[in-house]
Amino acid sequence: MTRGITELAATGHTQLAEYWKKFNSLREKVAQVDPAELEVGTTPKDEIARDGTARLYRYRPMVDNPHPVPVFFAYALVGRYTVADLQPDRSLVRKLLEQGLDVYIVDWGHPRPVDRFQTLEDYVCGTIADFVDVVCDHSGSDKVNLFGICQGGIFLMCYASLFPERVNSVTSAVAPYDFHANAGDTALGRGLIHVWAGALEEADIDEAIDATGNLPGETMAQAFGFMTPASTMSKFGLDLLELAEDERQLAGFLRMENWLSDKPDHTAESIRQWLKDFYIGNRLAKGTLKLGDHAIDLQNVTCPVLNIYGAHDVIAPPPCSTALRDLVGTKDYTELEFPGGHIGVFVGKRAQKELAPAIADWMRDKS
Amino acid sequence: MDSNSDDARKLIKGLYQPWFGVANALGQDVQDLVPPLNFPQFEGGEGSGDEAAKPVIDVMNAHFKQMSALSESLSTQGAQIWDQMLAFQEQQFKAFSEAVDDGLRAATGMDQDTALRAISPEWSPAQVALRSLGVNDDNGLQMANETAFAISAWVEAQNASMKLSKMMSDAWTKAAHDFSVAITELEAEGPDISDMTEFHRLWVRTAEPVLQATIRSEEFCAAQADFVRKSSRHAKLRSQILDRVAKSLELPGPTEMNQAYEAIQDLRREVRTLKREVRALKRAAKPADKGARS
Repeated sequence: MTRGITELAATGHTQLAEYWKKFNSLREKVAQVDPAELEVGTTPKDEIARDGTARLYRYRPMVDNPHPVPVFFAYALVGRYTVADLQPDRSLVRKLLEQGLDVYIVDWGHPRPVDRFQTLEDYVCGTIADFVDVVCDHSGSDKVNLFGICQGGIFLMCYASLFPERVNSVTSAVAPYDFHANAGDTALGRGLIHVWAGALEEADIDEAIDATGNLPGETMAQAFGFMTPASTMSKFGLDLLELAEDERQLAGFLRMENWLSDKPDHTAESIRQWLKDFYIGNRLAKGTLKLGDHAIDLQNVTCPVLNIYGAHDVIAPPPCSTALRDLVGTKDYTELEFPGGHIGVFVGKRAQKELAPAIADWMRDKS
Repeated sequence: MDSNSDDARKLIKGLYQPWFGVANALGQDVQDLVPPLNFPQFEGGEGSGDEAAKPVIDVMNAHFKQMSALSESLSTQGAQIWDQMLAFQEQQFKAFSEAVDDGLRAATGMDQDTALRAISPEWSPAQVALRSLGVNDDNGLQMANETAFAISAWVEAQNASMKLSKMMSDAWTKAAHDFSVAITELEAEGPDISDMTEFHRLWVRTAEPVLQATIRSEEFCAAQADFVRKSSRHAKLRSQILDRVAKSLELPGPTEMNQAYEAIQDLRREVRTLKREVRALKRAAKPADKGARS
């Protein structure tokens, strides 16, 4: 290893030539990748219900006699459910199936302009409530084990507070519950959406949503990328470059990019409520949240709750997530901290080895 | 006059035809103001300066100045032609403005400035000008007004965007400065930087905190909120114009489409309720069926 910037400068032209050589090699490799190889969400499943743009799938079980209480799995509106099934060896869904669970999953699809008046109440008390009924009918079980990631976790926790008779347990991953719990935390990127939204009045949100309608998925993607600008910009010049020599890792990186680029729009009414009631008003934590006529009181959640959070999550910082402990009514509350950020918690290497077995063991124990 | 000049003159006359029509309606013959398009004979900047302030012309003059500034970057030959074109346009608008003034004085006894203040402080110069020219169609007047306000809102949103861009530009500049300082310090210490990748990582480590300090600052958040507000206002005004245009074409505008979307969502909720009732009936019927079979 050479030492000193002077030496680097002295060999700079050689280094630069090497750098570009790697880039060219990378470009050629990317061009050779078969797009079919980059497909995500390939674990076999069957559609069993639909509601507007939303679809309910059941994954084909991988054991002869899956666990009798099915898992009802929902991701956030901001991304696709396929993040839980990126590729066979990075698939939380597949791992849960291998653990003998019976997994149903919601795909929210891509909302269209005609869907702009779809509210959070429509999602929670409409689509989710109907789909849970379908799962119960389909599986023959009276109850489900809910498993929600990020916004999906919040939706399912709200559902559990309104329809406790249908819920055996709730597992929530990387979901914030007290949106103001990390005020003053200036760690890189942490809680920036809350900081930005906090500069707006609720009336500003109304004006913006009234005027523009659905919030484009690209806007949300840009906001997430802007939380760590230098790192985001270096992703292709630095991270990808290091993976160029390993075709398997390169394909994994590109699959993740495939997923990241598939960002559905938020319906106008749902993002209005999301920003006003959660980010600005923090009404879930205050106990003043209403979905339509339904008052949400998490004290009604008395079933077992498993809360998984990322130690370095900037979108759902740990204090925002662990605040759930004091909000729910259950005495059977478990926390599980995983290293990594918002996505790494369930797509990272450790997640593949430890997360699914931990969830499966916990669900079996509570069923 | 050669044929090229004739063609060009026809083109220019065509472009100005709507304005000529208005001026002619007021009894002004401005057709003759179009000179033969022999470019080298044009004189630039003629006739500007000493007339009373005219809102419409002020805006246009500002536009001309911006366009003139562009000419600096053109080639000498191109710049000459460009300047001549601008001078010609200025002549035309001066004539048009005078025609507007004459018409306005004939109708109201006031110049544009006075009329603008007298009629309504909310009215745009474009609206006053149109009314002074005898355009009394409410839809047209309202459209002109809304368009002027929408353009103004767009400019404000762009300015707000520029303010944000300037903040980020300053942040990137500071990040670059801090990076150079970090390199100097490392050079003195004899660092373990062995290749470009490590060099790149040093940049990310140095730049990210600087950028974070900016995007987390109260000033940035306030500017971002201001941008959201101004963009929303522009989007709202643009939507109003679309509504008006759509109405004139007997097409549904954004407001009407939203009403339809809302009605569709209400219908979906009704359908959902009905489906649930059907499912409940089916569930209730199941035990009875089982009983009948046994």
